[in-house]
Amino acid sequence: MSVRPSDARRGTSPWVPLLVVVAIGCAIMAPLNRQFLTASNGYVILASAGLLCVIGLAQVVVLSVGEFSLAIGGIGALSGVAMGYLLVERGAPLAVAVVVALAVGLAAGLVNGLLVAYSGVHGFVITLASGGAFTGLALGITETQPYNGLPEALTVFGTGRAGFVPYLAFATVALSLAAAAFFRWHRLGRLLLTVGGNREAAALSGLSPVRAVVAAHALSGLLAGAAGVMAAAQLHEANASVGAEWVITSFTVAIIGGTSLAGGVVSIGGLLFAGVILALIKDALVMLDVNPLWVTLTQGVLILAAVFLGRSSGWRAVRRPAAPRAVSLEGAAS
Amino acid sequence: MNAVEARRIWKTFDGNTALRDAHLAIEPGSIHALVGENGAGKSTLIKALTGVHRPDRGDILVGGVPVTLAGVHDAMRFGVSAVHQERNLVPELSVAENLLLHQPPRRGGLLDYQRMYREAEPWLARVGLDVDPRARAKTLSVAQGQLLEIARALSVRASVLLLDEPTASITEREAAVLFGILRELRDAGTAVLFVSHKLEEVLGLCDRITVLRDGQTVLDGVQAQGLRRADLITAMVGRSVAFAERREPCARPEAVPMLELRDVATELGHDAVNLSVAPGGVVALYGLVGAGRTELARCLLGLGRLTGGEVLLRGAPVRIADPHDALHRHRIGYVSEDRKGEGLILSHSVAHNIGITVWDRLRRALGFITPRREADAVGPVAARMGVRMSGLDQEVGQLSGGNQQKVCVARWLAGDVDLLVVDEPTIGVDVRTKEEMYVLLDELARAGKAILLISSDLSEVVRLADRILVMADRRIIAEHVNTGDYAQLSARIMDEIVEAQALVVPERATA
Ligand SMILES: Nc1ncnc2c1ncn2[C@@H]1O[C@H](COP(=O)(O)OP(=O)(O)OP(=O)(O)O)[C@@H](O)[C@H]1O
Ligand SMILES: [Mg+2]
Repeated sequence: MSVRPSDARRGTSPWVPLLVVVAIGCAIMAPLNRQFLTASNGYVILASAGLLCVIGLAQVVVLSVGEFSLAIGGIGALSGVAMGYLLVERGAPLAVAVVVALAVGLAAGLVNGLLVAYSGVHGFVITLASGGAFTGLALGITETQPYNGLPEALTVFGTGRAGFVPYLAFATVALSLAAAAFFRWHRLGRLLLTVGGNREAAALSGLSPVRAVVAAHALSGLLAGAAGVMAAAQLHEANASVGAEWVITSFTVAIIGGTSLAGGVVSIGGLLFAGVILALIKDALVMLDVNPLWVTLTQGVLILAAVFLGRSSGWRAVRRPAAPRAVSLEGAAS
Repeated sequence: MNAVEARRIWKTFDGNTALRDAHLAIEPGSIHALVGENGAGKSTLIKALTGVHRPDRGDILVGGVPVTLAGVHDAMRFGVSAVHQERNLVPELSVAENLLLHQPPRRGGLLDYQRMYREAEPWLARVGLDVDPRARAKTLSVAQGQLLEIARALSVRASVLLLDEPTASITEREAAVLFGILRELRDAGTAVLFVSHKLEEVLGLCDRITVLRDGQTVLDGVQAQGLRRADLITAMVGRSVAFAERREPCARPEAVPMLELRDVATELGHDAVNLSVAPGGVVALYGLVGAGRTELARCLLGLGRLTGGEVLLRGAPVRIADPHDALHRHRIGYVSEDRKGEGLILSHSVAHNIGITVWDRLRRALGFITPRREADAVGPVAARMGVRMSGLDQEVGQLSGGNQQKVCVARWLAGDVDLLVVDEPTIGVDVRTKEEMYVLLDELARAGKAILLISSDLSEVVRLADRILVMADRRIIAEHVNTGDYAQLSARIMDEIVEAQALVVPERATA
C-alpha cells in the first residue's frame, strides 16, 4: 500500500522489511516473557498501535504536500477536551460531542493551513506557536482537571475488544483505508502528492499549491481531532496534556513507515506496520521492566535506523532535496 | 592505443536492460560522437565509464589497462571527467565555488575566496560565460548552468572528456564557441566524447561515430567523413525514416487573434512587445539564450508583473493572475523548458505525470479518479510520443532524459487548451520523436489552437512556424514570414542579433 499514484511495480515496498522487523521482535520477546504471546498482550499492543497510527496519519497528510505540523498534539488535546466539556459539563449527546470535537480539529487545522499558506511565515513557526496555543486553550478549559465520567458507549469503544482485536483498531483500519484510497484515487489526494513532489511543476500545470497546503493542514487537523477522541475513549477521560508526546510519535511512525520528508511520497501500509512496531517496543520495554523513559530514546534511535537502513527503498526520498524554488538549475537540459 | 574503452558492457535496471554488449573506444586526440535514440543507453554508458554505475558485466580500460571504478573520484583520478545530461550544480553556492568544487583553492586549511574568484575568471571566459563568479548558481539560466558545468569539467584538466548532450539547451552560436574549444582540446591530445541528437553538429564536429540501438553498438567508431545524416538515422532507428521539410501553414489571419500583446512592458525589463497569434497559427519567438523569451512567457502566465501595455485573449483584454487562472479560466498551457525543476514530478509514475491536466475531465463521483480511465486517457498520448518505459506506472525519474522530455510535452498534448506556449519542447529529444512532436503540434494548430513556440533551434523554428519573431535583450527586434529558406533566414537573423547587441553594449557602458 505504498501510495505514490500507482506504483505497484516498485520492487521494495518499505513495509516488507518492517514486517520482518515485527516478526524478529516477536521471536525475541516470546521466549523472554511468557506473557508476551498472549491474547491480552496482543490486545494491549494493538490498542496502543491503533492510536499511534492515527497520530502518524495526521502527520503523513501534511508531509505529503511537503510541509509538517508541530501542532498535532495541541489539536488532539483541544478536540478531546472540547468533547469532554460538552459531555460532562453540558450533558450533550455523544454523537454531537464527537462531531463537534472533529469539527474543532478540522477548524484548528484550517487555521494552521491558512496561516502557513498566506502569511509567508514558515510552517515550523506557525505550527509551533499554534500547537502551544491549542494546548493552552485546552488547559484553560479544563482548568487542568481532566473530565471524567465519559459515557459508556465511548469507553467501550476505547477499551472493548473482539477476541484480541480492540474496537479502536477497527477505526484505525477504516481511517487508513480511507487515507490510502484518498491518496491513490482521489483528485485532492493527487493534488497533495503532486504539490509535494514538485511545487513549481504543480503550479505550472495549473494546480494550486495554496489550496493543497490549506487542505493538507485541515485534513491533518481532522485526523488529530479523531486521535483526540480515540485517546479520550481509551483513557476514559479527556485530558489537556494528552498530546504532549504526539509530535515526536507522529514523525516516528510516518518516517519509519516510509513517508518522504521531502513530500510527494506517502506509505499508508508502512505507517500501519510502523505503528505496530512502536507499540511492540513500548510493550516489550514494559514487560522487561525497563524504565518507560527509555521509550523516547528508542523512538529517536528508530528514526535514525529507519533513515539509514532504508536508503535502498522508499526512504530514499528522505534524502532527496526539495525541488529548488526560484530558478531551477537541476533542470531541463538534456 | 585507446584513451578509454568500454568492452562488452551489460547493465540492467530492475529487469530493464539498458546496455547489452555495448562497445565504445575513443582514441586520444579525437572527437568521438555517441548517438542513438532516446533510451538507447548513451547516458548509462557514460555513467559506467565514470563510475556512477557499476556495469553488470564487461570491462573498462583506461589507456589500455583494465580498471575498476568504484566512484566518480576514481574516474577523475584516471583523468576521465564528464558533464552529465542533467545539471549538477549546487544552487546556493557561487559560480566560482561550483566551478572549483573538486579542487577549491585553500589557504591555511580555509577556502581562499579571493583566489577562487580570480581562478574562476579564465575558465568562465573560456566557455564564453559572462557572469559574476560571485553570483549564486541559482541565478543562472539553464544554458548558463550548462556552460558552467562544461567549464568545470575542463578545469579538471582531464585527458578524457565525456559530454552528454552539452548542446541540448544552448544556441547554435554558443555551440560554435564550444566546438572551437573542443577542437583545441582535441588538438592538444584530449579524447572527447560528444553526445547529441543534433546530427548536423555531430557530422560537422566529430572524427568518429559510435551508434547505439537498444543498448547495443550497431556502428562502432566508424569514420564520420563521408557519412550522411540519413545513414545515421537508419543506423539509430533500424530502418530509413522520412521527414517533412516544413509545416503547411494553416493560420486564419482573418480570425480574431487568440493572443495579442500590445506594447507590453514587464517588471523584468521587456519593453514595447507586440505580437499576435491567430488560431491555427504557430508563431516562433527566436533569440539567443538570455534574450528574455522564457521570462516573457512567465509574465504572460502571471508569474511576473506587467508594467505596461495590454494582453488580449480572443480579442478581449485580460489580467492573468497565476498559472492556475491561466489554465482554468483562459485555457492557456505552458510547457516549461526546465523539465526537472518545473515540469516533472520525478518520484511519480508516467501516468500520473501526464494525467495532471486531465484529472478534471476524468473525475467521477466525489472526486475519485479510476486508474483504468486514467490509463485510457494517457496511454495513447504516451504511445504516440513513443515514450520508452516499462509501463505507465514506471517512475518518471527512471526514464532517460529524452523520454522525460516527452512526458513533459505529452501532458499538455493530453490537456485541452486553446493557447499552448511551448518553451524548447524538443530539448534532448531524438530525431524521430522530434518529427512526431512536430506532427502533433501541427495537428493541434489544425484543430484551431494557437501555438507560441519558444525555441533556440532555428531548424525547428523553420520547420514549424508561420512567422518568426526575433528577440534580443527583451525587445522584439525583427519579424519574418517563414519562407522555409533556412540559410537565408539564418544569415539575416544572426545579422540582426549582432546589430542589436552592438547597440546595447555601449548603452550599458554609459549607464
Ligand atoms: N536509474 C534507472 N533506473 C531504471 N531504469 C533506468 C535508470 N537509468 C536508466 N534507465 C533505463 O535505461 C535505458 C537507457 O537510458 P539512458 O539514460 O542511458 O538513455 P539515453 O540513450 O541516454 O537516452 P536520452 O537520449 O533520452 O538521454 C532507458 O530505458 C531507461 O529507462
Ligand atoms: Mg541520455
